[in-house]
Amino acid sequence: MCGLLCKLAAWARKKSPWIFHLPAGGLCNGCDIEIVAALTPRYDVERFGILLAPSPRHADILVVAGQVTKHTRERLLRVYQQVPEPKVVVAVGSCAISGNVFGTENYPLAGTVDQFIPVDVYVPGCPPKPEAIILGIVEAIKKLEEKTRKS
Amino acid sequence: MKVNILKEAVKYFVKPATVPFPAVQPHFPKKFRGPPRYDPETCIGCEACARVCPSDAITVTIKDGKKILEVWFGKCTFCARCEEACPVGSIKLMEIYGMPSPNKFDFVSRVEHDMVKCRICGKYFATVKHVEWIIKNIREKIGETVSISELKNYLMICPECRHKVENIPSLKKLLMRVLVKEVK
Repeated sequence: MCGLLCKLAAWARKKSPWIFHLPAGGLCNGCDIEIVAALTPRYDVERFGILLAPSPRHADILVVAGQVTKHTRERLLRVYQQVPEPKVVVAVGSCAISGNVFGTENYPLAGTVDQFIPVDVYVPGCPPKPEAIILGIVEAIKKLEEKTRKS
Repeated sequence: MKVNILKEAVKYFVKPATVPFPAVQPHFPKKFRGPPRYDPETCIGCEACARVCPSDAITVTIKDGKKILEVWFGKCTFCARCEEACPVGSIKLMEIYGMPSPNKFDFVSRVEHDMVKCRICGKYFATVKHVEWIIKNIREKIGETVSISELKNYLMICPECRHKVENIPSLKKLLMRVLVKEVK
């Protein structure tokens, strides 16, 4: 039953991964603006088949920007659970990687993204250029392929 | 100003607005601030960059007589304070974008320096290149009055021992000579 359908799903997932964009609280929104810039006609990620999904239940790739605050921790974990398997997480920006100038011992902050959910690809920059975000998502597609093969 | 906007608007009718990114190199605007990189040849290891870094992205580790300066641009704000503070223009914010990677500790640029021992207490305290740079600058300011070996004798002493310089007669003489020269 699954044979042909699974192959079709894997092919479709590789050719057109859907991304869900989640700002995780502690950030200046610079990375969000760059992610949106990557979706605009100037950089146009849709020519690679990458599409912004309206709900995490429809997404393959979770794009997280910014540090996790105490408020968003629960939401981040819930959104991560809602993304169907196989899933890949991309952490965009310095805040998501290490906390940047906000540090890790600030009172409203819970920690960096990789302390709560497994991160597959890191995109450095403050904010990263849209080109770097595109390359990061392309890297994530490779990871997605690997995970599909394993499952 | 308005002419520029009109030019941009007309462009959309002439050619596609999309940048064919993987085929062509990305456009970097003027004064673009990318990831900071060290030039290991010019760096003197004075730690000025580490002291001004607002996000503590630059770390200094002293181990086995080596000083390692490391900038992790996974934590960097790209504010260019290090570039301003560097006395020799060694650390520069490059016109590149950070390449994404599955390992977050890939985003690192590092330099390694040999250190000098204090002549009196035997503690490592400064890099060889830093001492040479100071000697060069002093020679430029005060000329040939003091020989290089004398200066080296003085500079090879750590700041803590230097506070006790009055107890060492030869160093006191040297200091007097330099000060007298400055007054003239």
